[in-house]
Amino acid sequence: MNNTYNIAAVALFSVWLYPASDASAAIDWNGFIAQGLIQAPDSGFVNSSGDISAELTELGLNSRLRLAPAWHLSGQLVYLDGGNRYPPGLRLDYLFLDWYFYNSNDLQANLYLGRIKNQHWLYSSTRDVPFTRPSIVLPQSVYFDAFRDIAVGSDGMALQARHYNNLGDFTFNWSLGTTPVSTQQSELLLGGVIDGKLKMNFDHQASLYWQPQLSRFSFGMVLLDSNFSYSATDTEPFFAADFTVSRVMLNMRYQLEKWEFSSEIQQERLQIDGFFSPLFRQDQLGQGGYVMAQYRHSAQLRWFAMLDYSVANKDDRRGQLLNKNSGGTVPAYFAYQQSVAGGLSYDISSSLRLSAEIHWVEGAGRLSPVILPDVVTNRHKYWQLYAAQLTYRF
Amino acid sequence: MLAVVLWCCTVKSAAASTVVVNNSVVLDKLTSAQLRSIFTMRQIQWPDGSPIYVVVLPDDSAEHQRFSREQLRLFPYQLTNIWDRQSFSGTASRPWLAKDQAHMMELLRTTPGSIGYVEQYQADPAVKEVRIE
Repeated sequence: MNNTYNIAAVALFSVWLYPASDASAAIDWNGFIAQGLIQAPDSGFVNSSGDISAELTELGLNSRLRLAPAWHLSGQLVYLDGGNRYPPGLRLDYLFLDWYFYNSNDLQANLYLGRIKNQHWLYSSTRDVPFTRPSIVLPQSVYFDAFRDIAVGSDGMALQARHYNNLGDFTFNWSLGTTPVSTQQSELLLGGVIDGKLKMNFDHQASLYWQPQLSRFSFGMVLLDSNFSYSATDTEPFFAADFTVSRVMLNMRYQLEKWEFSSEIQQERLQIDGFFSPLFRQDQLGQGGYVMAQYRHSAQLRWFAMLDYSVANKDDRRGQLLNKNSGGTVPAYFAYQQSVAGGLSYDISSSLRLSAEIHWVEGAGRLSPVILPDVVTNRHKYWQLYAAQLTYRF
Repeated sequence: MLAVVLWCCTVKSAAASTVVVNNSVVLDKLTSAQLRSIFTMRQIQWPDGSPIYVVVLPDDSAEHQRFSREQLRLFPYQLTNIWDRQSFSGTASRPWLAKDQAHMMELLRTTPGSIGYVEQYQADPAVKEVRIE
């Protein structure tokens, strides 16, 4: 957390410790504690050793304070430990002012200011909240853990408008902001040997969701544009660089009483100017997506099955070009990642859930670091992931 | 045959939920879409700008499940998922939870701007029924 948000978070949570003096003020608290065991023996997804690990910790505490009928203040602190998946530690997940500025029978709109959450993807707004997501580890084609801190939200503003008419329900989201990138985050993205500083210049997203009237289907489209710059030091073999990431995503969901099907597909353009040399240029299109089926066997028991696929360069789906261009140092399986996963969750009570799952994976395209792959740890083309997690909510 | 039809109608009307609001609410009718928007916490104010307080029964109660399916046309798990996602992303509060129908009526009677549902509604001077179109 940066200092400004540190102070704001402490002030906010201090205020919330005192009872509201105004009878019209209202406050809600929610929280969760989740601890699990995870192992990915033949990859560096969790750790370098491949041993079973308790680095599957997610703690969260959030509150929403009503300042006036149309004004709210919301904040959440989370502590995450996911091993190599993302930097461990305490984060101010969000802290924003929510202005409900338009209210009519068929249109409502909110403006959010501050550290806002990514509301654009199916599970992006609560990807760290175990009982709101379908699996312990989300499909990496879309919810790439190395990008978690960058994709989860940003400091800026967002707008949400909801409208319904004879065609159904529509939700429009727009956001613009930037996210501080920590040193650990920079290393996860670029590689452990960098000395310079990665900075996000902006993250701009818009999405539109449509649920046809009385339909069990819903459809969504997301557009993302973001830009990063890298300042190199004189002592490293890398150079100043610009990274531009643009993404188009389509999603759908079909919900029945027992069954639920969901899918998100994306095409991502990654442009690199610099880094490997001052004149280095790269412009490639990656693709990915997943299909997931969930079945609610009973009110307590739910299982899921998922197919996930991603490729860094759609013109090099099996990595021959990557291998050739790296002079043979980067194996071809770093160009893609595809997996089959299955798991279940059981609600022991209304506040306690046990989840377990297995992923069978081919490829290392969604293992960090992204730009300078770790070919020493990730020596296997095929690997598995096992995870079990117990979650308590309050 | 007639007896079966009458029995079905009787059972349906006995189990149907009535949407009830505190008397302070100026509306007498809502569309299905508006009702869904209110119970999914997307609309949080009445047309006069006063706050809406949504009151629901526990997820596992038969009354809540019938209301969710028949009036909101949502499966109960969909409603719970929406509330979870909103409350943990900070974009909306959870609805108030009533222990049972008697508690629901007590909250509706005493809270201006509140909305809930009951089965076998009995007229009460502090609350009123809202027609769903």
